[in-house]
This record gives sequence, C-alpha cells and structure tokens, in this order.
Amino acid sequence: MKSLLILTLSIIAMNGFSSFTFNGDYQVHEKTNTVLKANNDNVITIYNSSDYIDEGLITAFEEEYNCTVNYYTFDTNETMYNQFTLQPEGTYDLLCPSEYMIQKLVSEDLIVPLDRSKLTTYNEYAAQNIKNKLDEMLTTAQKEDGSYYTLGDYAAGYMWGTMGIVYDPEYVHEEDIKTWDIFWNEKYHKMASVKNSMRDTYVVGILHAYQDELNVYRQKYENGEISALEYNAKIQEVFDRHSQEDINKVREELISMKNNIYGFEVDSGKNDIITGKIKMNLAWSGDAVYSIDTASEEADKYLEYSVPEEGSNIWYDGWVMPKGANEELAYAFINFLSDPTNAAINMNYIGYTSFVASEEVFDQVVNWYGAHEYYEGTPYSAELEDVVHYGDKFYLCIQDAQGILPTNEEYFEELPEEDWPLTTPVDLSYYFASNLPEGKAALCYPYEDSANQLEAQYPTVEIINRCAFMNDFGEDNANVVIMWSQVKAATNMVPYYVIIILAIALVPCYFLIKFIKEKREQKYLSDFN
Amino acid sequence: MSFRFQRKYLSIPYIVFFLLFIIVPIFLIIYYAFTDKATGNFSFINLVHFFSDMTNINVLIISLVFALATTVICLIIGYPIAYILANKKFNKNKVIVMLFVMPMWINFIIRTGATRDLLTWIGLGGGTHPTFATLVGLVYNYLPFTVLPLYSTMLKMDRSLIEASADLGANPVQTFIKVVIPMTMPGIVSACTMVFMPTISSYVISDLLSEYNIVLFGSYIDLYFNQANWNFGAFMALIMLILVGISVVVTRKFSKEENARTSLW
Repeated sequence: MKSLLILTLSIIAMNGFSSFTFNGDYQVHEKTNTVLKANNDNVITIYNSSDYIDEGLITAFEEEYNCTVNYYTFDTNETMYNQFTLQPEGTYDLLCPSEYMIQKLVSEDLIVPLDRSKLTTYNEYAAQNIKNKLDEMLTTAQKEDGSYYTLGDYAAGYMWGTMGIVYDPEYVHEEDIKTWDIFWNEKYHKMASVKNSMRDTYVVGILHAYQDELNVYRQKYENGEISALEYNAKIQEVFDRHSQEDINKVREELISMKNNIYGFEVDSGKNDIITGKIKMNLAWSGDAVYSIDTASEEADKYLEYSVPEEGSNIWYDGWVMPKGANEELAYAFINFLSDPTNAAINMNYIGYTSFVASEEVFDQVVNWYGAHEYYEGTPYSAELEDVVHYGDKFYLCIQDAQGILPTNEEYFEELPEEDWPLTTPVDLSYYFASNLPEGKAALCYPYEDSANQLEAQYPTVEIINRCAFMNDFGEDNANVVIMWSQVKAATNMVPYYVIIILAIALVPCYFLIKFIKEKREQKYLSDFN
Repeated sequence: MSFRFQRKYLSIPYIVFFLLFIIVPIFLIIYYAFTDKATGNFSFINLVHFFSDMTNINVLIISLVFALATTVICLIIGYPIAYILANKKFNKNKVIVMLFVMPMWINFIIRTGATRDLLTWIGLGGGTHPTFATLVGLVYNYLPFTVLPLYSTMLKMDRSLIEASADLGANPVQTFIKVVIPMTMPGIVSACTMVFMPTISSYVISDLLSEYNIVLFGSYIDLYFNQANWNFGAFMALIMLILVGISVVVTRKFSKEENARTSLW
C-alpha cells in the first residue's frame, strides 16, 4: 500500500513538478487535470508518408501557433490504414493518404468532411484544375439530397502526380517506351522492375489487357471523333473494371509480365535505375524527378520519364481529418502548408508536384528548368543568374533587377546562342493561370535536357487527358488480393515438387535401412551367443 | 498491512513477459485464424480457403524446399569448417572462429543489402538468378548458426576414441562415419533446428535478394496482413507454427533415439 502511494505521488509530481504543493489532494488533482487539458488543445498529431514534408516547416508551424506537433510517418497507405484503425478514435488529427485510401476511409465512416470555408489559404492558392479533378472523384458517402460527396469534400490536396516509366535512353528505344507493352517486350528481357504494389501493378495489367480497345479510343480521339472529355471517360471506364473475369485477365497478363521483368521493388527502384541495375522502372512522377535529378548530378547519367500512350494513372495525396480531431489546428496546418512560400519550400524539398500553384512555386519551377518570359505590367523582377526571354533572345541576369528591361547591359548579359534553352516554351497556364499576376505569362523555356523532367513534374494537358484515377476496388478488393498473391507466387513448380517428394521418400528409406541394420545386428549377436 | 518480500515475487516479471508476449499472441493468432473476416463469427472459412487454392500450398512447398536446401548446404559447408576450427592446431587463438561469427555483428538487413549489390556486380543478381541469390543469402546468414553448435560439440568430443578406432584398424573414412559423426550428432541436430526453423519463416532475405521474384511463406503472410486480411494471415501463421512445432518434436525424438549403437552410420 505504501509503495502504491509513493508511486501515485511521484506520477503527480512528474505531471506538474513546478506547481506541486502540499495543499491537500484535491487541489493537486485539479491542477494536473488542467495541465492535461491545456495540452490537448495545443497538440496536433499528424500521420504522413515518410520523407513527405520539409520538417523545418513543422518547427515553423509549432512556433507560429505555439503548439506541439506529434509527427509520425508510414511507408504505405496499407500500413497507415492498419495502424490508424488499431488506435482509438482521436489519436490522429490529420492523415495524408492517397485517393483510393481516402475513399476506403470514407466508406468505413472513419473520417469527416472538411469545412471548405475554413481552408482559406488552400482555396486561394491551390491549382483550380487539379482541385476540380478531386471533385470528379466520388465517395460512397451520400449527402442529404441524395448526391454523393466528392473526394474534394473530404480532402485538401497535398501532392499529385502521374505514373509512368523512367528509362535509360541509352538502352531503351524511344519508340518502344510509348506503350505498356514494353514490359512484355522480349527485347528488354530482365531489364525493367515494377512496383511491388498491388494497385499500381493492376493498372499496368488492365491497361495491357485492354490495349487494343484503348488504341481504338485513341485513334478516334486523334481523328477528332470524340472529345478529350469523352476520351478520358473511356479510359476511366477501363480503369474501373474489376469483375472476376477482368481480374483473371489481369492475372494472366501479370504472370507473363513477371517472366520478362527483372523483379519487383518497394523503394529501391528509384536508386537501382541510377546505378544501372535496371534500365526501366515503373515510377510515380515524383520519384521519377528524383531519379532523373540524382542521376544527372551524381552519376552523370541522362534518364527520361514517359507516360505511355494507352493511358496511365493520375494520383492524389490529400489531408483528411479523422473523427474527433483537433479541428482548429488541423485547418491551420493545412492552410500553413498551402501558404505560397511554404509550399515552394516544401516542394523544393520533396520533389513532388504540389497542389499549390502560387507565383512563388511558379518562379521556383521556372528557375529550376530554364528561362522565364519578360513581362510588363506587374513589377518585373529578376534575380542573379535568372535567364530571361525577351524579344527573341535570351538574357542572363548579372545583378538583381526590378522593373528593368533585359536589354540594359548593367543588369543583363546577352546569352550566346549555344547556351540558349529551347526556343519553344512550355505553357503551364493549365496549372498557374489563375494565380499569376496580370501580364505574367505562364511560360517556361526549358533547357534541352530538363524539358523531360519539367514534363514529369507538370505534364502537358495532352498527358492529363489520357490519365485516369484508380478508384477503390470496394467489395472486389479481396479478389484482387488473391489475384495478386497468385501472381507473386507464380513460378515453375516442377523442381520444387521433385525435391519435396524425394525428401519425403527419404523418411521411409531411413526407417527401412535402420530396421535391416537392427535385424542384422540381432542376428550377429545371437550368432555370437 | 505490511509488505513481506518473498522469493517467488522475483518471478513476476517473467510471468508477465510470458503472458504478454507468448501466451496472449498465440491465442490471438488462434482467435483470428478461426473467425470470419466479414462477420467476425467462428468459422473454418480460412481453412477451406487455404486448402482450396493450390497457390497457398505451392508457396508452403517452396518455403519447405528452401528451408531444407539451406539446412543441407549449411551442414555441408559448416561441418568441415567446424571440424577444422575445433582442431587446436589451426585455431590457436580462436581468431578464426571469431572471423566466422563476425558477420553477425552487423545487422542482417544491412548485410543483405550489401550481398544484393555484390551479387549483381558479379552478374548473379536476383533479377536473373533469383533462386541462386536467395540460397546464397540464406546460407550466408545462417552459416554461423550451423558452425557454432557443431564447433562446441566438437570441442567436447573425446579425441582418444578417434585414436582407438584407428588402432582397431578403421581407415579415416570409416572413423569419420562410425565415430566422429555419431559423436557430433547432438551438434548436427541442434544446427539443423537452428537453421531450418528460422529459414522456413524468413522473408526479408528472399524478398531483397530475389527482387521479390520468390515468395516464401513469411512474405506471403505479410502480403495478407498488409491488405488488412488479418484472419487469413493468422491462419497461415498458425500453419507455420504447427510446422515448426512438428520439426522441433521430430528432431527431439531423433536426437534421443540416435546413439552410437543404433545409428544409421
């Protein structure tokens, strides 16, 4: 009993050491309670993918809002789901899963819709066209009027991207990479690795299974028989196929693919392609940017990213709020990340494409990849080493300039023609149009060897049109899991059967020999006697 | 109320540990294995599911074959090594024994990552030779577990018996088969169990080294756990538990029965 008392006292002392007084039990008790409560209001628990935020921003957020951030990370959406569902309600205040997982969380009634009016900064700076995409994706939750909630009702977008193939152009022919068939192509036997992820590989399988059908749609679209919207809807329809018959088809496809590829990978592929273990890798655009970037910087290797022409997957990660979350801080955190400057810092760190399409992000992206266009109207500014397109020439900024024409030799130097970026600009207005000040063109003149990387980060509208999203499999998920396990286990079983039968046959042999030996020994002993 | 210390209270931490980390998990596995995921009721659906799909049994067979092969290869490599090491002429300062055990000082995931790069470098990587790479990784990782028990039994071996057999006219081969092997049988049995049991459930090594081309039972279970199908995963974990249990019982019986006179050799 005495030890119990000491234990209790020490726990109380630990909770409120500085304010501990001997004024009787009641007061001490009350004191610890208020301390705990104040703590809860000031704490936000965030659960995000690993390496998916510039952690300096978390510290900045803690300082600005005078709160504590408990930051935890997961490696896959499935791990997140398992961990999240095991914890009691209210453990996490913000999660950052992918689109299909958000659908699953909604269908299991684990997260709450966001109050869009509280996402002020996000509403202002996130790219309208990409936000609209989120609103095209439906969830299974119904509103009062019978219509369905969209993904945008539940999630504030964080990062997005496409799925494609990173490849080494030295080994892989440009014509071959235009189709998913390259994973089945004998010419590239044991050269490619794909994600060890059921859903991503399912996309490849279903697109290859219905390749001919998709090519017909593509032909129609190119001939102008169907609009971009209709074309996208057709691809989406193929994506959503997961009846047992389709699953069987995908299984056949994936098993034959497995025999031709190098292997599956979880996270090693983005480095393996740099070291040259593999020549092709099924990758998300953000990882592709990482691979291309690292390869050119560290290995002096030029890699490219391509989204095959049959179509591909466009994915979104977003912040969602579980039931019982600390709403105030959660909204504050989403808005904090959507702040134009913070988003630029974050994007610089992660390498993925942010939902936020502010002027700051635009400037950063343009300076990464090439030259910007001179503009009038809003105060024009260029920083040291910026490259500017003006008239039909390029100029290098040699001194920070504000409102000065690039022809001014004190601030700018004309670039010799051999150092020029490409003269045809990439139009990024699909993403940035609404957030750039008037007069500033959303154009980027990329350098020849960074044009492809820019396209990986901000795909052309053409690519967006042939990308569809991957809805949650819903009820059919269990069947897809079985299919996936069969694909993973598929191998030539004959040698295994032979060995196991031989091993089993050894057991009776052992007893037989032993029996004979014992008989002989008995005979020997009896003879001896 | 006075607290009187008794010696049996010292066992409390062990009992708590035993309950929390051994008994409760086993009951959880059994509970999940025999409940239906959809309804949560008692059912044999996982059992039916397991034996109705040949893939599941194939994966089990693949794992068994890999465990058997690893055990045999480890024995073939490890036995002579242990024999040489136990000879005091070669191993005066026990430095060589230490060299064999040294890889175990490094975490096996790091070691396996290095093995993967090495094998790819010499052109025998998991992408092109998944079976070979996996076997190399398994043998490399479990070889110390073979060498150590064999080495310790061989140190204790009575060497005068070897001389005696030579005196009685046995040639070196006969001496080895009739005298050395029976004397080291306990070491062989414990080496076998120490390799067979962990390899049958290992999966990180095979995943990394075969580039996920070879799926062993452990990673197969992980696949289902990952997709939040705890029930089917738990059922397969139970099967693995039973298999390992059988292998323990068999080797126990084997090592008891095996003595010099009734030996097979």
